[in-house]
Amino acid sequence: MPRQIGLRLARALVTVWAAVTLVFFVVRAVPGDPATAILGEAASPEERDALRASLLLDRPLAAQYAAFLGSVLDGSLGRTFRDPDRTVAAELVEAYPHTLVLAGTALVLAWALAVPLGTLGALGARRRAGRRWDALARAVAALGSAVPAIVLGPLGILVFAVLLRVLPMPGDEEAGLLGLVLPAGTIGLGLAAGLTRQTRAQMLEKLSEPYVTAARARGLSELGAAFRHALPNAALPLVTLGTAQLGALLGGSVIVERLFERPGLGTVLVEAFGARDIPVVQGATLVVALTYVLANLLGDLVLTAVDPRTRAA
Amino acid sequence: MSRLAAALPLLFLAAALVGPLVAPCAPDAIDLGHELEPPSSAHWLGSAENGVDILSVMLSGARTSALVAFLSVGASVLVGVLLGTLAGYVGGRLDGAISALGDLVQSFPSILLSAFVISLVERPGIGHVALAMSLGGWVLFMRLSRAETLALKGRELLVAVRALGVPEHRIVTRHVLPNTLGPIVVQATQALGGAVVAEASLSFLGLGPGTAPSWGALLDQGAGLLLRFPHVALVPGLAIVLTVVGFQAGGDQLRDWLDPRARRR
Repeated sequence: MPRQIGLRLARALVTVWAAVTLVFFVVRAVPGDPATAILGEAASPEERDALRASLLLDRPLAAQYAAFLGSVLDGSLGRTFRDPDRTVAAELVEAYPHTLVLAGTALVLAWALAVPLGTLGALGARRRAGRRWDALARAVAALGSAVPAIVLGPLGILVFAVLLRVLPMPGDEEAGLLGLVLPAGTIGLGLAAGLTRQTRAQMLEKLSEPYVTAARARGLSELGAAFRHALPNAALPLVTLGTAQLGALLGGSVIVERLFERPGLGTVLVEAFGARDIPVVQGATLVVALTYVLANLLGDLVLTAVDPRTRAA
Repeated sequence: MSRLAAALPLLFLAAALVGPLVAPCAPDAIDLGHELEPPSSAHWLGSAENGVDILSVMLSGARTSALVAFLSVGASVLVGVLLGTLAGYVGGRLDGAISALGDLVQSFPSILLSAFVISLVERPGIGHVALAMSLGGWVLFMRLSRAETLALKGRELLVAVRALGVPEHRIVTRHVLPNTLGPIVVQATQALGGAVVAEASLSFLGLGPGTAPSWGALLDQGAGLLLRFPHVALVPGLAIVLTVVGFQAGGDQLRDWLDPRARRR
């Protein structure tokens, strides 16, 4: 088992290295001069040459690549183009926790909403009395998949901050935890849509299994049988879907960070893209890709923990 | 209800084709006397910053959206089906290499991949945005087409045509491809809705097709004006939702037509 994890980890790191190397060469292959982008069209050729030299852009590609790998190994990731006194690592370390808190909250909200609702929906679909739960589950699934973050976010602000005034407006410095509700909810509802649909479908299938009937015969309540016996058996496809949603989670944070004027990895990336700040682009790419593959690995490990059958394979 | 929704893409296409011709104003016509007005008889959907007519922006934006969506999904399907069929049919090392390439592309969230590529271009146009979106978009179609081809490989149909002495390239073009296209067409229809959202999201981030009018850019403007002028964000927001729902329902409808066995209920 540990050997298997080590192997997967090594493969994940190779993927990250390939992605970052690709980014390194692509940003240097495209036309357009970063020095001009930073200094503006008005700068003299001498000024540009001086900047290019200080950014190592006049060196051969191999030397630049070696310097880049060195900066990865010493953990600084180089210095930002826009502020030579600041390392890329410092910029990323400042932004990362913001994104982590946002994404983590969104993830918790999504699962806390989707699993009970999908389960109740499946139970409701089997009985007349529970129709309302099923309708609610299907409404959440439909709403979350039809309304993307760029629409759901402004809609949430309009309803909860402008009309009802129960949640703070974007950019409110003193908002505290309440300020996290709308941004995390915007991402969370999008993720919850797929999860609710999957939970409902899986539970509908599992609820008619003989072991659920057996549990009911032993005197367990319907809810008890559903949550104790059917749900664990439905967890596997849920975790798989959850892992597949990580891209949407990271992509969603970029949109939401801009919409709600929050600092974070997405803001750093979009600003670096705009300013052609190559070291920041490289560093942020590295961090995003690393987060992504590690989270995927974690998802697989959870999968193994949930389902003993996958261990042998 | 779902039939009605499935007709929404037709409305979207009509807006994209003739919308800019019948629009009341140019999408960038400035009218400082009528800035940020709610819907009225002069501006049916109201006006945005600088008195720009929202209806006109929406109609021209529909064309931008449609162009980006069809170009990017078209390219994704072309590349994805080609590589997926190849990977599934040939198998072995080629399959390994193509699947690994798909994994590599997906080791990065697709919207960030597109944003990165667009940021490399000095003045991104509709073609650049579409290309940037298909760089991540082909993987889905590759996986689907590969799975369909693999499923077909074990069937008697292929054994039979091979026994008849049909050459390999003909087997692929005449027997494998046509039999895998159904799910691809359904997926592509639904991907069009996703592409409209992706284009709007990129424009929202300021990384859209430069000067072309766009729903996402209007939404970005409106998001900052929610407190006093909510109509600026609501109009493009509603249009995006209706388009997504429409293409989703359209895909479901196509699935029912193409594969009666999959008909639900």
